[in-house]
This record gives sequence, C-alpha cells and structure tokens, in this order.
Amino acid sequence: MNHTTRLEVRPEVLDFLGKVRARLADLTDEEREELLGGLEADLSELVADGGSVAELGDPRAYADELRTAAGLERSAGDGRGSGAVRRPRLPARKLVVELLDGSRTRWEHWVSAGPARLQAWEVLRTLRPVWWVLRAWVAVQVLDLSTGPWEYATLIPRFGDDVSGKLLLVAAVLASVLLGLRRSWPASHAARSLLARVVLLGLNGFAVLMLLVVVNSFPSAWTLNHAVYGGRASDHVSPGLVNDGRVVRNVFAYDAEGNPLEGVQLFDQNGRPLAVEPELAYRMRYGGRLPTIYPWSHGDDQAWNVYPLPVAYDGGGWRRNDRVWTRDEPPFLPQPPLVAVPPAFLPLPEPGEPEADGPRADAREDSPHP
Amino acid sequence: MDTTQLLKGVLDVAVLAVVDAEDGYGYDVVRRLRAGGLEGVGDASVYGTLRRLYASGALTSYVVPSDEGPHRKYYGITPAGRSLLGEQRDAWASFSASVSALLGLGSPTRGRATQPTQPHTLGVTR
Repeated sequence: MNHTTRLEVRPEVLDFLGKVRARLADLTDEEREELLGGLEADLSELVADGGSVAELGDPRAYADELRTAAGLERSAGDGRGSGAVRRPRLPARKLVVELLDGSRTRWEHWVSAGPARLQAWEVLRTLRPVWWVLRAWVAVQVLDLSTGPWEYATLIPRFGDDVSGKLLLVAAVLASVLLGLRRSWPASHAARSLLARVVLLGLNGFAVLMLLVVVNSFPSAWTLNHAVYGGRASDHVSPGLVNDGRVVRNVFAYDAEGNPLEGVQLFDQNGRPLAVEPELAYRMRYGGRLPTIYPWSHGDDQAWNVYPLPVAYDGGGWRRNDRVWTRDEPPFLPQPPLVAVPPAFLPLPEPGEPEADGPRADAREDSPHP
Repeated sequence: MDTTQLLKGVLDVAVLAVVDAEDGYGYDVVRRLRAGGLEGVGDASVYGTLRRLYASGALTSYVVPSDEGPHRKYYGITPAGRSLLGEQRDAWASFSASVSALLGLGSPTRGRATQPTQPHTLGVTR
C-alpha cells in the first residue's frame, strides 16, 4: 500500500481544499491543520485513481461531514448548531490566541520545511541567552537615556556614579535570564495565560525597538574611536575632548589667581588645537535644554579651541546657523560654572622667603623648563 | 433501509479494525473500507473519524514525507485503540447476534467473531 508513484496535486484539488479550509475558518489553526493534514495527498490520490473532485460533492457539505465525523462542533459564528453555548465570551481574546498560536504554527511549518532553515533556527535558538543579556542591557540603557540630560550612551550606563549603573545592569541581566529560563512571571506558567503571553511579546518587541534607539544614541564608531577612547587612538587629529569618559562641550579657564579668562586658545604638547568636536558639541537632543555651541573665528576658519565657546539658546540645537551673530540675540560667552576657584601656584622652593603669601603672578616666567 | 445510518454507528470500530490490520493514510483506509464492502462510506466521514480517533488517543499519526507531491499522513493504532477495538468488537458481536436472532436469521455463532459485519476481512487490500 506504500505508493511510491508520484502524486500530482491538481489545481481542482487545491481549489476544493481551499473551499473546505474556508468553511472551517472558525476552528483554531491547530484543529484545522489536524483535520486537513494529509488531505491534499488523499484527494490527489483519489484523482490519480481515476476519481474526480466533482464526485466529492459540495466542498461545504464535505467540510461539514469532516467536521461532524471529527467531533468538532460548529462555532456560533455560523448561526446554527449547539456551538453557541461554547462560544467564548470574548471573541477578541480568542482571536488573539488564534493569532499567536497560528503564527507559531506557521513559523514552525516554515522552519521545518528545509534542512537549512532548521539548522539556522537551531543556531538562533542556541543564541537565545545572548538576547536575554542584550535586552537587559537595552532596558538599563533606556532607563539611563530617559533620565537626566541627554548625553551619548556609554557601554556601561552611568547614573551619576560608577557603581549604580553596573549594579542595575547585573540585576537586569539576572531578571532577564530568569525570564528566559521561564522561572519568573510572565513566562513561568506551564500553560501561560493570554495576558502573560501578550506582556512577554510586548516586552520583547519593545526591547527590539529600543535596541535601535539605544544604538542610535551611541556616537558613531568613528567618534567613539576618536573621542571616547581618544587615548587609544594613535591618529593625527583628536576630534573631540573627553574628560573621564565624558564628552567635553566647553572649557572654562581661570588664571592662577582664580579669575575667569576669556578667549583662551588651547593646544596640546604637539601644538595641536585642543578643540571640542563640533559634532559632539551641538548634536544634542531635547531642544532648548542645552545651548548650541558656536566657535570663535580665525577669519575664514572656525576656531573650536578657543574657550569658553559662545553659546546660544536658539531652540533646536541641531543646526548651527552662521548668521546667528547678526541677530538680536547673538551667541554669548557663558558664565563659568565656578564663581571662584582657589588660586594656584608652582610649588617652587623659595629660599630666603617665607611660604608664599599670595599667588605668584610671575609663576609662568619662573618655569623650570628653560 | 438507509445503510448510512447503520454505518455511522460502526464506522469507529470499522476504521479501528482497518488500521489495526495495517497502518494506513486517509484515502488508503477509505479504499480498504470500500473493498471490505462498506461501499457507501464517505471520504470525509472516514477522514474526520481518523482525526477524532487520533485526538482521543486511539490512533497515532506520522507523516511520511515525499520528495515529489504532498506528504502522506499515516495512522497507526495505539494500545488504547486496540483495547477500544476489543471492547467494540464484543459489543458488536452480541448486538448483531441479538438483532439477527430477532430478525429470524437463524442462530448465529455467538462469541468472538473477528469480522462479523462482512464476509470479507477488512484490510485485505494489502
């Protein structure tokens, strides 16, 4: 009885099956597949045997016969039969369950259709823990980004101090892995409730979405390499200033006596300008919260190493407008963050003189390097 | 006499007997039932019955993939199905004996008749 001859699926068989399937639309996908699985082969063989689809009669009657013999009651949607009593009170709820179950079934069908797909899926399944860690990280990043002023995201989120970010990250990873291992709600129940399934799906979907947002909040690979890890980059230009891992947007200089200075030009030991990265300086979100920073000028060139850099609260902060200087409210030099800084001096031993009784204005001239 | 009504009552046991004889897929079971004398059996009724017996645990099913054309879904009997078949066989034997006696069809042999419904053995088309 094992027919090895090739079975041809004729169009009228598919057409007939389609009509039967439509008639069974009220069943769950699982029930329907259970009922129709193999039917394609059965009908094809009937045709191959010399029969015809026409002798099967009306596909709707055929579907009803199939349903009755299988003991599956008709649902109330059809307007007759005893199914009305069994009809769930919330059709929307049933729809969602069917949608979820159906998607899962369809996905499994699709995956199992080819060895390559199956293998790829196996690999992906093995990598699930990676996603568990990733989504925890995303959650903490989102929390970081949504609190406090905007700044570039860092690999380990910082909440003011160094410790809390790491602690939060560890806690989030722990929670996410427990969720992944189905040890905690909403993934814990063997037969998960609809609410739990929807919540779980929503959380994962949100994490995927937020992953894009978080990734977008990182400086580009280029700026990362040059600015955040500027110390490691052995390249020629330093496109930005970084202080303790944080992007520097402006610099305030004070003289040795503690007086704020304006128009200080800064260079490094090789004579390269110590300039903030304009991209970093003005790519700020949340509109007016942070001012746009404008450069000084060398005539035709912009000077980003002259401090403090003028600022303007011109709204957006996204687009710097060169004509801003002719406006009624041109950019201005911001107030230094510290009203007073302690005077500073070189700790040179001064034989014959008592300990310094004041700042040494001539400290620079006394530099030990001739 | 409308045999389709009679058929409804015995379709379960008939299908179980056919599958017990040898695993089969839907159309194959239909063919064997018809060859066994149940000419009027409907395709869809048999398919539905197979699915229902499967859902109740009396049958198992497995898919035999085919490189060309659609996959065939085979059914086999489970131990639960076999004991169900035994019960229904006995029930049928005593029922048919009673009805035959009532109808004055002579005294049929009582006891375990293996295939009392038909002169043919179900599942002969192997």
